[in-house]
Formats: sequence, C-alpha cells, structure tokens
Amino acid sequence: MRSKDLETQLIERALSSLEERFGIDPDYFRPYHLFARRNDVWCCSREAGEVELPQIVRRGLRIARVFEHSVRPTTNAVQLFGHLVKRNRVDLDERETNRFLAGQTQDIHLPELEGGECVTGVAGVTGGFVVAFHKGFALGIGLLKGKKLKSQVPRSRRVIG
Amino acid sequence: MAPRRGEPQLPPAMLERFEEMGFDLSQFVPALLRPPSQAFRINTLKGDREEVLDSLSHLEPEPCGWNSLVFRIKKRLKLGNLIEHFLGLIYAQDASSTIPVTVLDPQPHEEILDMSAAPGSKSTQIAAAMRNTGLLVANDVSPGRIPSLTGNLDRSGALNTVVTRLPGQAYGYIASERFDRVLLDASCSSEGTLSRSLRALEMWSEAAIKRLAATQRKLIMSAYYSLKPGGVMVYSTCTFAPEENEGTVSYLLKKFPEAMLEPINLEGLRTHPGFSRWRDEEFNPAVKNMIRLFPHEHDGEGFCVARISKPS
Repeated sequence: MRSKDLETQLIERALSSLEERFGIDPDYFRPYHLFARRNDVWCCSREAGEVELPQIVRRGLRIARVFEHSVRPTTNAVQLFGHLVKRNRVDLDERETNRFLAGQTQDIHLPELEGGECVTGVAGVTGGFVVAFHKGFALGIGLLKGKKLKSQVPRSRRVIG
Repeated sequence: MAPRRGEPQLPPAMLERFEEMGFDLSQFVPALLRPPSQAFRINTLKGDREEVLDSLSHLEPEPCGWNSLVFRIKKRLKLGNLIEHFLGLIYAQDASSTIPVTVLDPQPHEEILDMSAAPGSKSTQIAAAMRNTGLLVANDVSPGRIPSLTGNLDRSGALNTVVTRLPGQAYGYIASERFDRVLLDASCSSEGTLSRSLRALEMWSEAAIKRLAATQRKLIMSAYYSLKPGGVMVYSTCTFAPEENEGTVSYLLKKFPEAMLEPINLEGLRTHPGFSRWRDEEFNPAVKNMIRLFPHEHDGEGFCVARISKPS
C-alpha cells in the first residue's frame, strides 16, 4: 500500500475516533490541513501545510496519537477543541484539578458510572480516554479505568505546587 | 555613582555609555535593575477576553493602554503556576515585549515571518492576531531554543505556524519578497532586561556590541529582502546601544533609501524618539520615528522599536 494511503487511513481513523468517543464533528477540521507522521496526526492551516522551506522543524499542532486499539488526542489539541466534546467528559473540582495538572492518578466520584444520575449534564462516560474539564475549560486527556483517572498531561506541561 | 548595598555593579564602561546617552544615572540605574510589574497577555486563540479577565479578577489586572489584551498586575506571583497559564489562556511576558507585535499589526490570512522567534512570546502574539489563519513562519537559528518555541506555540494553540531552524540571513535569499510582514526582534546586548537576568552582563562589552551590530545589519537586510513590495517590517531590540538600534536602521536606510521609517503612536506610552547621533556617527534623520522606552519612565523593560515599510 502506498504511504499516502496509509497516511489517509491514519487520519480517518483519528477523526472517526474523535467523533465516536468524544462527539467531535470531523467537519470542524475541514478548513485545516491534516497530515500524519509515524503514528501522529497533525493539524495546521492550509497555508502552513503547503509552504515549502528548508529546515522545517514542524508544522502546526499534533492533535492525536494513533495506537493499535485506540486513539489518544493530545493535551494541546483538547485544550483547543475541548468546547466541541460532547461525550466522555469528566468535570473535576479544584482539588481534583490540581492532582490532574500534577500528572497524578486519582479516584474520582462519577455517579454516571454507578448507574446514578448524570451530574455533568453530558451523557455517556465509559472507561478509556476522557476529557477532563474544570469550570468549563478543557484541561486535557485522562485515562479512566473503573474509578481511577490517570492524568495524561505530559511531563513538560505539568504544574506542581 | 556608588551602587546600593546588594545591588549588582554595572561595568564602568556601561555606565559611561549610559551617561553619554544623557541618562541621569541616579534614576536610570535603580530603575533598570528593579523588576517592572508582572504582566500577561490574553491569548484569544484559547479564550475570550472578558472570560479570562473574570477568571483572573482576584489579581486585579490593570490594562496597559496600548494593547487591549495586555495587563499588568501589582502582586508578585509565579504566573506559570496559574491554571490560566496551563490552559494557554494567558502568556506571561513583560509589557514592553508586547509592543513590537502591536506595532507590526498582523492581520488574518497574511504571510508573516518572525525571524528570531524563540522562545515564542511574539510568535504566539502574532498567531493570535492572525486568528490562526494564513502562514506564520517562526524561525530561530539556535537548536537549543527550538523546544521552548514549540512548547509555547503548543500551549498557545497555534495552528498556522511553521517552525524553521535557519540563520535569519538566509531568508532574504530563500524567500525573497514573500512576506506581508516581518518581525526582526534581534538578538542584542539586552541592556534593557537586566532586571530580569544579569546574564547579559557576562557577555557585555563594547566589542560585543560591535559584533552584534554587524550581525543585526545582515539580518535587517535579509528581513527587508524577504518583504513583499507594500509590506511592513518591525525591527526591535531590548537594548539601549545606539549602534544596535539607530545604527542598524540607518544602515538599512543607506542601502535602501526608498525604505520608509513610519511614525509609531501607541496610546498611554511614554516614548522617546531615536537618537540623532552617537559619538562620531550621525544617523539618518528618519530615525526620529523610532521609539525608545526607558525603565525609569515606563513600567517595563527597556526597548527600541522601528516600523519600516517597503514601497509598492
């Protein structure tokens, strides 16, 4: 298979996963240029995607990493596109937010998972990657396993103290 | 003038130069070494101005006047630990350092070059003004400074940006007459930022100023070559040395007499015109349109800014 086809497949997998898991409409990315490098999907303006210059280090923003069985959006992408997330969003209080920003794993109380009433106002939280919110702002990606939320904030972005 | 207790001692040659520039050292030196108020810029790529201001109301931010997105705060705290910083809603930077991009006035859908971009405070400001459209080339020659640049672009949510690692001098050849606007915030002797870091003192000397000025001349030529006819560029430094400011701009005007040095008017900012001469050198009279900012008259670091346009 040609590498261009592989790249297209990777991008389509990322977009369909963002739609299925988080309810992000793929049309949102229509004005942008999407491309893949290894297992990462990147997004930039069309002009930034087309320009040819020597010594280009990178273009735009990495929006997702595609694994064999899952797709993980990046913290940076979620902070930019977080307002589009309709499913699998978890609201954190101040203390939980501080732990999340420090990159910690924590137990969280989610009535939705216990068959209770949905407190976030957003239906559908299931195990796997979720978007953590605080006061309406998307903080980043967490990995939810049972009641444990593992922060996926990269080391370089963590806030401690 | 004897330094106050605990105050770093500036090199005598530097103090002599400041005196020659006409500064009253008893006012100028303490202000130069005293940190200005902390400031931040709201990043409109990530958040709405009013929403962010509401979230930061406990800091009692005060608008700076010349840019509706730049605010000073009186409290001293680590802005980098705020959640608003983590979210990329704000960029912590000295108020003076927001001036070059304010003067450049980037517009959506343009093609813009930031020739010496790391660590990215000005690139992220440009990307926000362009509303993530068009093309912003954020270039820096130093491999060691690229990670801070990409990190800040990521945190700010810049999508219209291509990062390159080239000597700025190359752009005049590889992208001749390509850009609508160019920012050259040149590496300089950093005399204006001594309140933030004294590292500049380790490298400071008259010989270093001459070396830097020689490089700046090559860079400003390259920046001008890379500008489209009708385009606008901004040349800025955070130093007081006339060789690196009026000297560099006069050099460009000598090589390109058609280049126009435009007046700069920023609301609420106390500025001085560029120096007309320094020691034996008489500068191009147009350098009066450059602006100089001094720390004893303005709550911010020392800066010098020129806005230059290329005729159509």
